[in-house]
Order: sequence, then C-alpha cells, then structure tokens
Amino acid sequence: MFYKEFAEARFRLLLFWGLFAIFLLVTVALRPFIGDLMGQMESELGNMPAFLKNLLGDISGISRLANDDNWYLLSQWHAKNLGQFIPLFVLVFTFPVFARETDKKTIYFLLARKNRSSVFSGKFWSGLVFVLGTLAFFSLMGPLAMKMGGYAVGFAGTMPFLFQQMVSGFFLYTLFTLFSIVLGDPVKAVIAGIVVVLGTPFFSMIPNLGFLNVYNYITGIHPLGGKGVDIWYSLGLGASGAFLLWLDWKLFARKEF
Amino acid sequence: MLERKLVESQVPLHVKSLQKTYSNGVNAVRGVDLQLEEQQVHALLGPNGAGKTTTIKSVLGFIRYEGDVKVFGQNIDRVRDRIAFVPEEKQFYDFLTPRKALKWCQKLNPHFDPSRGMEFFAHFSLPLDKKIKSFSHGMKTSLYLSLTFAQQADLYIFDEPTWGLDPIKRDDVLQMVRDRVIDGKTVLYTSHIIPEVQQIADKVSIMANGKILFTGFLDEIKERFRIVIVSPEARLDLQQYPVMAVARSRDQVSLLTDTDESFEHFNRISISEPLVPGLEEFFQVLIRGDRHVL
Repeated sequence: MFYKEFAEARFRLLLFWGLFAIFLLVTVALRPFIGDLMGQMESELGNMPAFLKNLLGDISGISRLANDDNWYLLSQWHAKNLGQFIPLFVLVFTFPVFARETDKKTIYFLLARKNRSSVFSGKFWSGLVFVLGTLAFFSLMGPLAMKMGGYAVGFAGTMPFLFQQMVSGFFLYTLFTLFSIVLGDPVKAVIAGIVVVLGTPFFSMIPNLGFLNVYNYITGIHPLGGKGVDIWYSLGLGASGAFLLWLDWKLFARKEF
Repeated sequence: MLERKLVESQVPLHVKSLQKTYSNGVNAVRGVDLQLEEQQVHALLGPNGAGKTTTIKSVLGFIRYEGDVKVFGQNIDRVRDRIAFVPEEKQFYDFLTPRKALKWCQKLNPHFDPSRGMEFFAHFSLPLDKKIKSFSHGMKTSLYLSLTFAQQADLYIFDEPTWGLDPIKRDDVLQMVRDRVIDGKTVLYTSHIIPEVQQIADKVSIMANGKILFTGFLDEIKERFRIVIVSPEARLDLQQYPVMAVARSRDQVSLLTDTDESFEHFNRISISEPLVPGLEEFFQVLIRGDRHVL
C-alpha cells in the first residue's frame, strides 16, 4: 500500500519538495542582502522624528533581523517561507488521498481484496508519514542550510517550531482527510479545504474566536516571542486531530461505495 | 452442529432476505435469496437497473444492507483473500505500467501469481512498460481481468466483465471464466447479455426490479416450462389456471406455464404451437410479464 500511495503522490510531493527547496535557497541566499537592508533601515529609523517612531511601534525586530542570524532563520524560514505554506501543502497533498480513489472507482480494487481497516490504515498512515516527513525534513533543513551558508545558527530555536509544525500538520491532515472521505470528489474536497484555510482566519477576527486562526500557531508566534511551545494550543489541536482521526475512520468504515 | 458449520463453510455464497434501499429512497434490492454451489458458474441475469450490481456490492460489503450474507460461511471480511472481483467500472491505477501493477498486486495479496499475470498480459497483447493511462477501454478491461485471473481465489465475482471487449477477446474471456470452474473454483457472473450467459453458466438467476424471479439450471428451463401464445381477445382464467408470467403485446399474449393442468387448458386456446423456451424466450416473457410466481 505504501508503495502505491507513494507512486500516486510523488508528483505532488516532488512539486512541494521543489518549491520548499527553492524557498530555502532563496532564504539563505537573501540573508546578506536582508542584513544590509535592515541595517540601513535601522540607521534611518534612528534619525526619524519621535512621532513617526511612535507610529511605527516596536522596531526591535528590524534590528534583530539585521544582526541575529538565528532570528532571521526563525522569522523568515519557519514563520514565513515554510510556515505559511504548510496549510496549502497539507491540503494539496491530502485532498485526493481518498477522494480520487472514490471518484475514479479504483477503490473497488482495494476494498474487494482488503478489509476496510487495512485500506484506511494503509492510506491514512502512508499519507501522514509523507506529510510529517516532508515538514520535519524542511524544518530541520532550515538551520542546516544556514550553517552550510556559513551562518552561526543552532538547532535549539528550531525545535519548538518543529513541534508545532508536526502538531498542526497532523491536525490539518486529519481535517482534510475528512473532506476527502466525506465528499468523495477531489474538486469538492479541495474547495472545502480552501474555504477552511481562508475562512478560519476571517472568523478569528470575531471576538473570542481568535483561536480559529491556526496560522498563528503554525507560523510559531509563541516561540517567536521567546515563549517556547504553545502548550495549551498544542494540546487542543492534538486532541482535535485525534478526534478527527477517529471520525475519519468511523466515516470511512460506514461509507457506501 | 459441527457438521452443519462445515457444510456452511463450503457454501461459497449464501444470501438470505437481502434488501437495500438507497438514501434517495430507491429500493434497489427487495428480498433476494441466493445460494452458490461449489464449482459452478452462477449467472445473475437481468436488465439494466435490475439490482445485480447492488446485490454484488452488498455481498462485497461496499454498501450497507439488510439481510444475511455469508461467504464460505463467514463474514466477508474474514475471507477477502479467497475472493477476486471485477467491477462494472474496470478502473485501475493509471499512473502504473502493467509490469509495476503486477509487482504491486503481489505485495497487496499473497495469493497473487505474477507469472500467471504475465501470461494473461501476453495473451491480451498488453504492452508491459506503457502507462495504463494511455490504454484504450478494451485494454484497460483486459488488464483488470488479467490481474483478477492471476489471483488464486476460490470465489470469482464478475460484474459485466466483457463490456467494451471485441468479440474475439470476449470469447477468450468467457473461456477463461469457464476455466475457473474447471480448476475447482466458483464464479458469480452478472450480465444482461443472454448469449454470454448461455455460453458459460451452469445455473442462472433472473433478476428484475430488485427481485430474483427464477433460479435454476439452464436445462431445467427447457424441461420444465412452455410458452403458450394466445389471442389478446382470449378470456384468461388465471385464478383457476395459474401461470408463471403473462406478457402482453398488441397482437398476442404469451403465457409462461409449467403446470400440466394450466398448460393443457391454455394450449387448447393457443393460436400457435407451444414453444419450448430457450433462455432468450424465457427471459423475454419473464421480464416483460406482469405476473411472477416462480
């Protein structure tokens, strides 16, 4: 099953591996330029009138971006170039896993020969391994690529981001799997996923619904602020993912093909 | 008790009071009873929409149903490795080549024999290293059938397997299906093509509107039944002389009968010689008829 799932997903995997590799190269290659630019901005901001400084608020990030390679890695790679594409990557990878098989009727080949629990676990866990494996690889490649570029960065700062990326990857995978199973149509599944990816940040603007914005967690606002892993949000998202996994299985077990 | 269980475990398929109503309210199957005997081709024959595919989907556990289905005396999930299935839609993973498909099937099923698969591929002249997505409909069907025949199963289920094949390949496939039985296997075969069924079936169940109207051996039809043609104006006392089916057309009424008494009665008013029905005539009268008491 693993082999077939890999063969089926390899184009999507290659696409995102290529994109993430390009983003990583660009992130490392732009480091000197961003450092110089931020340095210039910092000196110009120092000459600004006080009222303008007040308008801009906290500008310490600019200074850190100019001088701190670790900060650059965390804010530009984990929070930006990798982090903000995680929902899109998980969606594009996950939506066809069950929906395409249902839509193309290839699912009959599997269901006739294997019981549903084998089919579900084979497909679900293979997909999850690919998703989390990709995220872990590129998360760890961040500091490694910076080191190879000659910058003094460590892995310690990456770890809280890696943890949150794994938790959010798991949650999003179980959520998009739900759409893939229930809707049984790749187009509908991807539309439902896009609605969620774009809709939840919108609804999070409503008071008391801020927790809906998973982006804050994925891009690591908490660890970026020096507060380490967001434990409570991690627990909430992990538990939601576990519930969705259970629901995915129940729906697949009862689905009519 | 033990003996009964042993006997049950040898029955390839036992279906009792099967019913299926879809969420849109369609009663696709309405109380089907079906039993397959070992080493026979049992054909499920019926017009489109008769409920054949729904019956098969229920047997295979693809849909939820009411009733009892036992495969080799057990729940289907316990014996899936003894079953091979060809669905109506013969869609296989089109990003694979036939050669890779063999490798994958071998990993998926321990009873899959890749060398037999190769033999079938050669028989159907399938290119081994060409992506399946470039195949014609007939080639895809041939591929699916090859992968199924290469599986060592005890019960083979075919849902309209020859659809889209040219006449030569169709005959080959029918022979291959027949060969399963020679090898000691059992086959459930659905079709709406009567000559195919005549060619390969030992036993036939005729299905219409979600019900099985008749189950029996092909020879039994000729031995047991007669078709009597009477005038549309003839007065039919069906209460006193029951018949199996009554099919009315503009210029005649065809009566399917098997009791001596009814046959003798209607034969006296018939407008032509009574017909010894073949499967085709039997099927026509039964399906077009408005009375089914078989």
